[in-house]
Amino acid sequence: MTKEIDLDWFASLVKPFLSKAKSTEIISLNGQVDQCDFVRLNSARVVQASKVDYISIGMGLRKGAKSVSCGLSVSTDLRSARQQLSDQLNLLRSWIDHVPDDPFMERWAQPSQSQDDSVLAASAVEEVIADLSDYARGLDLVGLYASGPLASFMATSDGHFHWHRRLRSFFDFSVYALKDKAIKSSWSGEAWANAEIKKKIEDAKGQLEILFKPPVTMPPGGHRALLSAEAVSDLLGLACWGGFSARAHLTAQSPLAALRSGEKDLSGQFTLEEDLEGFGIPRVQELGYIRPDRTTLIEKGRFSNWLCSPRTASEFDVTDNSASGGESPAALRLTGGDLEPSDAFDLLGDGIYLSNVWYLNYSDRQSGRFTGMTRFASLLVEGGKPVAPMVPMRFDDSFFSVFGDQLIGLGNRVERFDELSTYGARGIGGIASPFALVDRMQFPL
Amino acid sequence: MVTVAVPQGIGFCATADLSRPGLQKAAERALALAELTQKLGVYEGLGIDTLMPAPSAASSWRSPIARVSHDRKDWLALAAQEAGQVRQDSRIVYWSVSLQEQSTEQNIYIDGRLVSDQKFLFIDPLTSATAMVDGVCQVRHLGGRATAGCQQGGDEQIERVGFVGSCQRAADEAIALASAPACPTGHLDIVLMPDQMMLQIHESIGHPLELDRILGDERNYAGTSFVSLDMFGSYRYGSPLLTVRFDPGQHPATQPELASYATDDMAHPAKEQILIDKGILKRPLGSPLSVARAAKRGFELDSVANARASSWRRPPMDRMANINVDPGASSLDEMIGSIEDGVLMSTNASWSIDDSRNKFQFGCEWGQRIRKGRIDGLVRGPGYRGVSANFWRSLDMVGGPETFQVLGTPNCGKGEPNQGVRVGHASPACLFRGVEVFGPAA
Repeated sequence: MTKEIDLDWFASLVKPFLSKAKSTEIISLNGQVDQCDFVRLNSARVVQASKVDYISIGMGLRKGAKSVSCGLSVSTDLRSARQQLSDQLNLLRSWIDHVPDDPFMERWAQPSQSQDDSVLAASAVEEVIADLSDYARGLDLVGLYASGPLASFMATSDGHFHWHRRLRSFFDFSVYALKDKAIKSSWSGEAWANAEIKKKIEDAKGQLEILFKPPVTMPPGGHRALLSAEAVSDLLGLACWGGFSARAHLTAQSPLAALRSGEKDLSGQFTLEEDLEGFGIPRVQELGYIRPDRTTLIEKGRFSNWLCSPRTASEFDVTDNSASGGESPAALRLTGGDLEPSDAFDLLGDGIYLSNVWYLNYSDRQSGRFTGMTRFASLLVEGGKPVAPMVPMRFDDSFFSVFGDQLIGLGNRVERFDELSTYGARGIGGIASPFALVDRMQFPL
Repeated sequence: MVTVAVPQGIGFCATADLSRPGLQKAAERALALAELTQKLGVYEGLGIDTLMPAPSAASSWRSPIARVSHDRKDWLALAAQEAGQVRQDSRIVYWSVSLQEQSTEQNIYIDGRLVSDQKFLFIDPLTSATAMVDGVCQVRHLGGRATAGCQQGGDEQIERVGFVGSCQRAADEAIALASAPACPTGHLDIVLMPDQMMLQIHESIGHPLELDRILGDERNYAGTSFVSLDMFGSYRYGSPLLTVRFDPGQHPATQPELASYATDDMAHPAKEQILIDKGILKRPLGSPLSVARAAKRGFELDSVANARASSWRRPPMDRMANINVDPGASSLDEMIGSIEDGVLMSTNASWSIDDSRNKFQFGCEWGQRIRKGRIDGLVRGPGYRGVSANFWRSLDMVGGPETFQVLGTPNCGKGEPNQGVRVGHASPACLFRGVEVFGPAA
């Protein structure tokens, strides 16, 4: 076993280090500790198995109106880690007198402390993969298993100390029929839940049959569309690219500028909030400010709040709402509507079911226009019945259409999709959303 | 990263504890994962020499550096000066300036023997400006990563990208774009400048040729490929004007391209190889290990040294490195002169492609209308869409060496767990006929 990085280890690293701050300085540390087993599967067999121990730290130094920062990863060996922190602090000290005063320097919050180090024991990776191989026998299953403790922390020399660590596990997978046709699914939580995962694999297997039919090519143009809850969550994820950031709005970079100005609105059924509490995200941000449990962003189709960091507030002379510097929602919840999931295909009638969407990007950011592809088990539906899988189609439409005047309704069941990205360290948060029925969505290719 | 290979199995353990006990524990963990892979993995029949071959000689790489000053006080002054020189103009709503340095030292040991010793330096200067004119907003980037203009090297990169004065130029160009008419819609001829060719090569040649995608490893995340194992050697990928190389940095014309190296991250010695020759698909972007897996399926393919990892925290897999299009013989004037109705596009702004790397839609920051063989003003928000399998066959003219640029980006994402790596792409300007072009909402 490699060394487990817990609260005691962290405290013994940072507390003596932060005490080195001179009376004119404030030293800050924030970051993550990611200790994770990863196993990639292809055709239900292991392609790569890796263990990662990663401590990522952002270090800041303030002195009067000057500020410098750096990023580093440190050793899990305490002595080495102490030396690395000291070396970086010396580097920052050599720089700080040479930087100009920061005219928009934000103030630290009043010092606060919180800690949560309740970590369940992880299952042995060998046993998990053996079980998965058994459940997936005979299936063309592709996916990623990840499990291990994940911590986030923030501490300063003037008294902040926050440490939150939990066991986090997920299994993100697809069961393939032919070529690019598959059922996509995932499980995420803390302790490995064998029975749940086995059922999810069986459920995916049970939905495969239609994907063996020859795919149909739909004509380009407008089609009635049913977006699964996961597809809706992906579109909401795209909206986070500047949609709710005060800085993005104030620098004319937001795709939802017309929503904020009142020039356009979304459907009155559309209410969206940042939901830190629902996704168990620590409320403290990097300056020690405590974010609200929930922030309503869009209420009944109208812009309600942006996420404004103290930095943006200082630079643009507006009022902040304790947002983190990135001003992107860490967790979203779209309020459900009144459509029954069991009625969804009947309500669609003739049209396209988008099980999953892929490679979203803005095609015209200023007008909130986006593009992307259908993927996995997207289907042609006729008379309320799924008929055949589709050759992937490109859509190009706007938030103001899909979630605006073309939105017929939202499902009454809100499904939760945890953040599963693993660039750098593992992500946290996620998006909860219902399915959406859209009268006309544009598919140009 | 500690890697352990056993017959039919390989395991990885990433640790930042470089003490002897720390490395010992990492090796033990990697061995356990190798044994897991041996029992339940995809490497049946493959021996240690295939899973982790040891080169006979050590290789070395140093980024070519003309000069470098690690005292960054001069950068602070330079950035402040650049940002401070932007003229006051109510149409400019925001501008920014950044300079970024990253250095990487990599040593690969196999069975205690140093087999690869590499040092890389990356300097990334970037400016951007946002203009708003009569309610129309446009952003212009100049310089490094946002314009795919990255190379290896030292402070000379700052001059190469024309950093000094670029912020004002970005501001002027953003105003000009925001004042321009929207790009027209229709089937038109397009000239793609090298900084858009870069994205086109990356998405619709580079990714589809990655052998691990073709073998299905990426199907849960980045996707599969429209290219299949039986296509190599015979498939017409593009017009006879299209020749594409895997060039890890030996070619003088492309030095110091961003993803140049002596060995990949499994210590395979790297050398230049042709991927597409006069339009015919020759070889995949497949490491020796992926090629061995393909051979088990009955396809004998040539490998390239492209087992790459984003950092010490991730295992290597098949990636692009430098994927370059050979220059042709046409001048830019000749290409423009041959177009009755078209658009010249530059600097990628939006990108999206399907999971088989076929149907794509790309947008650019910079567009110029072409009418009757001449440039006829700016257009804003130019975009185009197509299908990879057809698009490269519509390549009608390839620019000569005078249009050739060596570019690169640090943001190529792929893999589970996710990895972002640097890739280089060198290309001339190219002309494509009859492409579906569109513009922003009126």
